[in-house]
Amino acid sequence: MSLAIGAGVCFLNGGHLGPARLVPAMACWSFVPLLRLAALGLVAAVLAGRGRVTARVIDLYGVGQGPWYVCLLGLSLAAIIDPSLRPWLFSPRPRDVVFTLLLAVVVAWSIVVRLAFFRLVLGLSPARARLAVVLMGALFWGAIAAYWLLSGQLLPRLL
Amino acid sequence: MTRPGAWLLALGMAGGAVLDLAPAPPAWPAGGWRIVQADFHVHSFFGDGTLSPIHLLLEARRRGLDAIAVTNHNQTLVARVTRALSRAIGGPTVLVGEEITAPRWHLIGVGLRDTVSWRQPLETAIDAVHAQGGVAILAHPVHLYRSALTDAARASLDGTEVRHALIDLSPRRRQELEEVFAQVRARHPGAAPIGSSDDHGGGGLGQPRTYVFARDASAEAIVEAVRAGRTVAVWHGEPYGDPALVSMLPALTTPPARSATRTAVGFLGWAGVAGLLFGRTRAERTPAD
Repeated sequence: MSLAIGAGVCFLNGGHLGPARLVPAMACWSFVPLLRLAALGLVAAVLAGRGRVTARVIDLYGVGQGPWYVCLLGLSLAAIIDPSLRPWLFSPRPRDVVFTLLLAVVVAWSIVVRLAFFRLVLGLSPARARLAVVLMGALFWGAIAAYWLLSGQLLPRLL
Repeated sequence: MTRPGAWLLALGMAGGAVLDLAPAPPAWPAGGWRIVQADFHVHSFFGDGTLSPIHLLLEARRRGLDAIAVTNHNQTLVARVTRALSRAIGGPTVLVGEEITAPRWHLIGVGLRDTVSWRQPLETAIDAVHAQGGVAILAHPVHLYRSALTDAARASLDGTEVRHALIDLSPRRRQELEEVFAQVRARHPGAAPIGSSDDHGGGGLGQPRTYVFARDASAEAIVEAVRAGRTVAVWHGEPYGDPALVSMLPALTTPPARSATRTAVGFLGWAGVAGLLFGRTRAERTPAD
């Protein structure tokens, strides 16, 4: 997961990888898999009664991030082929409609995969699988929002 | 057991390491000054930017910038870390900055020592930046971010972002930024026109940028030049500023974004990452006995 995000950041900012770019990027973005794993452990314990998440479960969870990998690789490829696409993709309105649509597809696709993960791998009922997806999202984004709040970056924008 | 893609990734990384060894941009002398290309509004990781400090420095160098101000929202820690890294690798110059982010205004403080609180009026925040020896630049003063702009603030600002990435979206933004700059200039004739990318790691670092007529490329000289108003804001090669300074600029060209070598190295790395993410090892492809 860190590799996918770190490489995506590198390709969008420079169009190539390099040790001095990729390694720090992976280190910085490692908070994503770490937070995800912590949330997964909590959700598995609460909803599936699993005290410990096995390596196989973690592997399968990682595989389930496929939609995001595809999205990042696609954006990266576009950035390598035509660097002028990078600012275009991240420009606010009206061009961000394309980006928002892309994001919506990836989010929907990844929710489907996660629901399947919780049902097939952790053996949750459909209702519990839905709850697990919501809980995972709330824990992950809640932790990020807490960081923004504590570091003083969020509050002025809310006022 | 090597996953497919590992060798490609290694090759892509090696090629990328060579590309990152590109030398710093040559100095541009003009009329007794050195023209320093700077981006005074850049976000990084641990703020809401995506780039690590070292990546920011490499990318700034690749884009021909002599100096950047790291200006995360309401914090200066990462800017100080980036400055230390910059000194270790020989540039570009990093100015410690902050985007002082309040509900009704955003102010860029450049050349700071400590974080400036956002819980105060704009005028006192400008004074707090000056008290640290820094310069205060009004950030993207479009309608949403200028309701707190008073005459006192106009008189004490060192500059405003008259060129900003927002202009790429709408000509109206350009007009709004120029109006505010004219208002500030009316109260403070020496105010500096500033061009900033406000890049958050989306690939726009250094576009727009500011050409600073400084004694040298040190942080102190750059801050002194901004305070004296010796800047030209440049957006897509189009200069905005004092005609006398504009006339001293060399032909404005941006470094080519694409080259065959960079594309090839990029493809190698990309194929490597794709292989690692989606490829399987021989053992994984072979069914277990």
